[in-house]
Amino acid sequence: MIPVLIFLPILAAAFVGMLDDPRAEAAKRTALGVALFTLLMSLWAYATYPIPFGGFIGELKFDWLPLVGSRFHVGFDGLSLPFAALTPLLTAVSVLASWRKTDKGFFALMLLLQGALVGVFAALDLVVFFLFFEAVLVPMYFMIALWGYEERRYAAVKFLLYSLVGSVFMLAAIVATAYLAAPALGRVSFDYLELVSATGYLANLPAASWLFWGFALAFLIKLPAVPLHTWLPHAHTQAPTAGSIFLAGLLLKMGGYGLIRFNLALFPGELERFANLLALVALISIVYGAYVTLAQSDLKRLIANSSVNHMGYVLLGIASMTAIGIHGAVYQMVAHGVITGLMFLMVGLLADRTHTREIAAMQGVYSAAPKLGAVLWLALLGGLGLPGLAGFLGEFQSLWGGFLAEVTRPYVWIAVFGIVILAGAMLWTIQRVLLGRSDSNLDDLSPVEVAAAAPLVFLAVLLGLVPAALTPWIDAGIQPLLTMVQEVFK
Amino acid sequence: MSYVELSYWIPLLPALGFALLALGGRSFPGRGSGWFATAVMAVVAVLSLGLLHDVILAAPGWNLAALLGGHHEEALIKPGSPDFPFRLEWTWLAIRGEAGIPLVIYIDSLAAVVTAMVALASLFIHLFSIGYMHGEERYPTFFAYLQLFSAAMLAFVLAGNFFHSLLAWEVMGLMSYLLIGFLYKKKTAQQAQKKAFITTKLADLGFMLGLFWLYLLIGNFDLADLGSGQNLLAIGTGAAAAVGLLVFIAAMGKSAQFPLHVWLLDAMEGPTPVSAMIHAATMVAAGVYLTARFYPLLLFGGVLWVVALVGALTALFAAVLAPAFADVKKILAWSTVSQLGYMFLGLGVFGWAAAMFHLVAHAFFKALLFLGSGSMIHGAATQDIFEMDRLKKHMPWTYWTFLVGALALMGIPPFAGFWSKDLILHAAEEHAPLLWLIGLLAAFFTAFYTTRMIVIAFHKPAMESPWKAAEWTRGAPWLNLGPEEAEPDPSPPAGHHPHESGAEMITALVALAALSILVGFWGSPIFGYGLLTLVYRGEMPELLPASKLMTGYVTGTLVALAGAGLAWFWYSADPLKQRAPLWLTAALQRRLYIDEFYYKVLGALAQAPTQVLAFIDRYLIDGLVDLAGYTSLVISSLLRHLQSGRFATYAFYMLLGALALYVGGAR
Amino acid sequence: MTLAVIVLLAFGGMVLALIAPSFDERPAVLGAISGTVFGASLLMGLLAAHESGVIYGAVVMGPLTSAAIVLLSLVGLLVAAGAAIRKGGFALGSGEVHALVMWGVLGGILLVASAHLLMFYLALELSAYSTYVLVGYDRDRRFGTEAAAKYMILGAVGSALLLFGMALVYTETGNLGYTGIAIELGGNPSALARGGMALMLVGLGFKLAWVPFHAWAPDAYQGAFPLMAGFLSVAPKTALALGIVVLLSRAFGGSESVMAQWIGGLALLSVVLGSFWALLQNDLKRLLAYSTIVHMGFLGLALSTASLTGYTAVAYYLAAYIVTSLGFFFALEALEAEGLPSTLESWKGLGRRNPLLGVLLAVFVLSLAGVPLLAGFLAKLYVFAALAAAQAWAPLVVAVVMVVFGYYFYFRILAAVFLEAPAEDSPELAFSPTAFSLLVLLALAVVALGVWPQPLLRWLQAAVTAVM
Repeated sequence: MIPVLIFLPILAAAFVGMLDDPRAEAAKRTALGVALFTLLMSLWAYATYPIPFGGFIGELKFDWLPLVGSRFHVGFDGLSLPFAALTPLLTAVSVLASWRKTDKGFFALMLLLQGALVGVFAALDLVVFFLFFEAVLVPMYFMIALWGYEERRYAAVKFLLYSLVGSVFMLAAIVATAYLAAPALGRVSFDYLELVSATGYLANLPAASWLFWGFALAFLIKLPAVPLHTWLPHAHTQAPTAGSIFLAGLLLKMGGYGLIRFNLALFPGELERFANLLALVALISIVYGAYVTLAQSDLKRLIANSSVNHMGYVLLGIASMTAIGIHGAVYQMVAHGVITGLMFLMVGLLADRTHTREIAAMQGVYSAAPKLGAVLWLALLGGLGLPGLAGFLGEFQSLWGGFLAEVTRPYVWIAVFGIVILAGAMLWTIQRVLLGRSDSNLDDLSPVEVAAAAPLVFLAVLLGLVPAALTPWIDAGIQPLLTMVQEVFK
Repeated sequence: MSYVELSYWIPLLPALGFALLALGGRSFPGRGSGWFATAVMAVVAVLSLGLLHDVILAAPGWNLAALLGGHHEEALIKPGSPDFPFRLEWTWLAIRGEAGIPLVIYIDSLAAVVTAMVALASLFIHLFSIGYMHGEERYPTFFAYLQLFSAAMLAFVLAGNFFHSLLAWEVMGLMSYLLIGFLYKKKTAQQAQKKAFITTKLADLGFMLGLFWLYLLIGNFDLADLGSGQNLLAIGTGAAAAVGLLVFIAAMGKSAQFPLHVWLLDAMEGPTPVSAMIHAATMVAAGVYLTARFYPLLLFGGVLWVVALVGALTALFAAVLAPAFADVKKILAWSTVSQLGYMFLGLGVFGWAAAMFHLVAHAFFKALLFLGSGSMIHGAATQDIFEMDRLKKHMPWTYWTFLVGALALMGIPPFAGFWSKDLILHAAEEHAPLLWLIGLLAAFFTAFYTTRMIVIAFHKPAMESPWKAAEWTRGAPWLNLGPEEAEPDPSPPAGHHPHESGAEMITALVALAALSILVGFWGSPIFGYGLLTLVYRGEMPELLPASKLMTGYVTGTLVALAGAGLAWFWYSADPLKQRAPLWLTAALQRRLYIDEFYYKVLGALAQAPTQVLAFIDRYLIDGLVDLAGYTSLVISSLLRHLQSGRFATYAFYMLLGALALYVGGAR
Repeated sequence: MTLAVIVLLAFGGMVLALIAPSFDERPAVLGAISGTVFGASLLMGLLAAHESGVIYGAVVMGPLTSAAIVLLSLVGLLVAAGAAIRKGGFALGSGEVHALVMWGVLGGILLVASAHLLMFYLALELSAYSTYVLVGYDRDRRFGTEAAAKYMILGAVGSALLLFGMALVYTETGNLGYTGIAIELGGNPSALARGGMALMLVGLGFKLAWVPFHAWAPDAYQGAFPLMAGFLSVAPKTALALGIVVLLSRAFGGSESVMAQWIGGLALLSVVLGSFWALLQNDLKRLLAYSTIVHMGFLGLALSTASLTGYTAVAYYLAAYIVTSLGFFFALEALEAEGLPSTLESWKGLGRRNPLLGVLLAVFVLSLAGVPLLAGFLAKLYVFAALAAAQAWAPLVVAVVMVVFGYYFYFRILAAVFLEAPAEDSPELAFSPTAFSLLVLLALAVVALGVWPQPLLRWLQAAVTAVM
């Protein structure tokens, strides 16, 4: 099943690329079909995941590069399933959001991204993980550079190189970890599960902190955490709508996911050692991110900067190393994917209509286009962490977990003010963009666009009110990790 | 099936009503969406009354004489039913090894009483809105918002887990935000809604932090657990005080207590039923309710005096400012702030049940007053009391019902406010004489501004409003708006004649008038303090000996009559005579410049880092990143000079390399 | 079999040279002959895998020799086929090109197979001379002759130092045979011997274009016609790299070898400086020259570990590099045939003018950059693995950082191809089917090696193990 989820979109991308399709009609239908089909498959996997037993489902392994000790090993557990299901969903949304595009290449890139992202979340071998982690960069680069706004080239290169800086260090760390762990395992292995069993050994290595930071750097850049975040506003602002949805919804998630999957599981001791520093970084991301958001005059850039704030909560939750905090981190990631995806969707649709992203040039969108205005309103409120929508539960749990751990507690006291600052930024945006009188005519949402927004709105509300739709999976995913961490500390 | 088992439908029904109206509200014909929402609330009201009935049967009974005599230990005459307080529980957010967040409905007497109060007030406000909002562009949306608000408020009251209290609390905040800005094209409405949201959100941080701390101490968010002696001991005095005060900050924000009162006046930008519902009867009272729930911590932590002090000061402060205003809604808004202050005063001086009694009574009579003002505005086409033309003649129903509310507010016997407010003052007299004096003074002003309002609006002919767009209020400096940005409130068009409101509106007014009288009697000594003994928790030094009560009642009435008399004397003679110095009027109308201080000093301080940080972000941090890139390119272009293209240079490199290798190698 | 290959290639070259003038008008015939010969030698190379033994104490038969025959014959075969891309002939006639390529390949094979320093030197010169000629062969090119002259004279300097180094080694050990040298040197070579080894490295480094002996490369690449630049970028490198594997493992001693350490230093210098130099290049062949320098640096890092993992990485790296680099140079050749010079400027909008070509170029360039699922990624991964296995952390970190620089200059190519709009009057690009099928074939090979390297790896590892 997992290979289908990974490779079907990639093959479909090749197929789409070869279509003789000047208007991209067949291309987008193919893309939508593949996305929906894989969505159903991943939802089925999500629904049938044996929560009480935990562990990995759909596991598949075969020797791929035995000479270096790497296997093609994939599987889903409760930690990866939410993201694996979110990926095809956001792909489908992106396809619908790009319904007016007439380039088949655009849809091919989306499918490539989808396949690679599922690969990232499914990988249980460090080399395979890196492979997909890196493979995401290229389609994203082209998506920004080809279909972005005016400064697309600069943004694309910045995105590419900045991400790469992180991932090459991670590659070094991956290789080093495998070889350093070899004495404990009796052989060189990149297998995640085998390496996890050597966590105790890894903890005693003198190089452990280097390895930890090798991984962490890549993930902190992806997350992104201040001061490693400056690629993000450029990339988000310049990317086309679909690109922004992918970036916000999924690419950033690779960072948080990686921190939990690798940094927490392989180097819990180092994580504890540097928890103070990470919490400080998280705090700065939250407060500073909120302030910088407040200063923006470009609507997409504003939302991009709000992501820095949102992902700060993820880091805070992880740094707390409490069950609740990590729950919050994962919840926040999913919620951010849904809500920020929705924000970028609506802002993209709005910018296409107004031909500007300048907040000062917009006014009264709600009265001109009530449906668009209402959904954007909802999304922006979701962005400020409004209770009843998904983001609140994520932020609340992260802060809650952060408060429970002694090391992160002082930071929580200050971090909460980030909520208010961001709320100010979002409300001010609502006031400037949505409210007031409009003197221009805007088309309201078309049925296709409503179809694109509907699942995200539904999820934002569902996850805001019914955590049982997500929490049990997270629990099944992270409790074994935490148990293992406890053992290492003993 | 008992009503208890059905209780989850109480918040659920209006929530579903919201969903239906939000998605398909426009397909209802005419006023259909309004009637639909009202019908939903009617069902909810029936369920709530049924629940109240169940609770009255199951709750423990108290011997009044023993209570009044101070013999609390002998006072219990009927033990409560074993399953009381009722509790329904579902899994909601479960984390292995942690208590997580279960979904709990917790129904004790207080919850049941407040639920019934909310449901009834909400029902009549819905009914009133059917007529009042007629012709509004977003008619179904308005009812959708009201429905969701009602759902949130009911959920808040019934929640047995503080997390869900917070959730519902915040949703109420959202609905308050949306409804204040219902007329979203108006600049003042936009600013006011933002102000309300930010102020309360800031205060809510206290709630959140308080909950975190509470969980750290006792490992759950359970409401019922809070008061248990074992937990209190585990928490300890200092932590209890800290947590209690943190939560109290949130309550101050929600209930607009000084110094966080600044948003409530501007909230009057919302349509009048909203003011009645959210900014008078229910949501603002939620702060009091929450403080009542955290009462054990505040008591144990020994910080009740803070609550009392804030309450007393707010009660007086708001009552003093109210007479300076001409907008009927703003006068009522100040009155609300002031009355909420009384409730906090009551809580602070150990008058827990009295405060709860005032909460319920106030909800009804203030909803009545606000709806009455809505009816006045509807009929007179202005909000300015000076511009209203002898409304008593034109709108008799409105006048008489409004009068009931006003008398209740002033504390004239036998109306509701008399019974409840005086109990609070008695408690204050007992425990904090100074605060008692402040309370009495506030009562004097209350009677004064209420009478002033009635005399000018109902008895006097229309006249030029003295301060309309006064120079010091042009624009709306407390909303940070310039003179050009805000439109002044409209005056009635020439030739407009006041007229009585429609049947739905009158029905709502009459019903609320009846309720506010009834609820007053229910809590009065005449009927054995029924309401008080019902919510009484049996552990607090609460009710006072009857002998002392009588003097209190007399004092309270005299003070109220004095205030009312003075206002009558002054304003029936010449309403326009400027009796206070102009600078004082200006200062009062500018709300003592507190709002402007917040905007210009605190707001500016909070926002000060914005541009600096944005600059740092763009040019320092990002600049460093770009610098790293450019440095590489510069190095590259410098290194290119090494590749000169000349043979001799190349040979030189080779020989140099060879030499280096040889020397390095042979050494 | 090995012997037969040597004979076949030697005589094949001669025959080609002899009959060349009569086929100046029909170069395709010569290409076909050359291709047939290389095809035969490739098959024979596969058959030679199980041979063993030494011929005259100078030429070793064995799995590694067989691997070298296969890889180099493959290069020859591809170049012979690639010659068909080229439109029009040379002023000097086309026939000799094939002969020279064949001798160059022969020299390369002998280099790997040699067991004696003298043999090594002769093989090196044989392969070198053919490339000297080939670089300047197209004498109408602007830089061709100049580049060839520089290349040759610098090459002579390199050879001289190599010879001098050998002489010093001989002075110290009295041996020119690898086995004898290894025995005499033991674990602790004398200062003089170490000096000799160091000077030998100058000659070797020159061929592999390690900094600071690289200076000829950009000029030579720019001066040569693209097909030859391609040949230059793979054939001598393959021969030399495998030759060094043999030298290191047979003559100059195991993992503690000082020679290996110096190689590491040179390689690191190449990776870093080559990357910097490449950042701002606008001429594609010069860019590729620097890219070769960087790649040879990575390869040298693997060599410097002097371990089985390292040598396997070297062998795989070479295989990956052959298909990738030749693919890129073939595309250059094909575009030059269309009148597009090899500059970034003229490549603007290629992806829009011909999307399939764009995709093929992307495959080669991304593989050069080291993007996953393409051959170039695994090549680098193996190098890093070898470094990690040898616990060489500092070179590992430097190397991974330089990958980022690589992305920058490779993506500049892609940006020109895909992001820029083509010039207004640019005509449709029409390629010969030969060119397209060759490019598609190579692109598929790049993908195949990146996705399923297993069979090749096993074979290469077996070959390398044989010399350890």
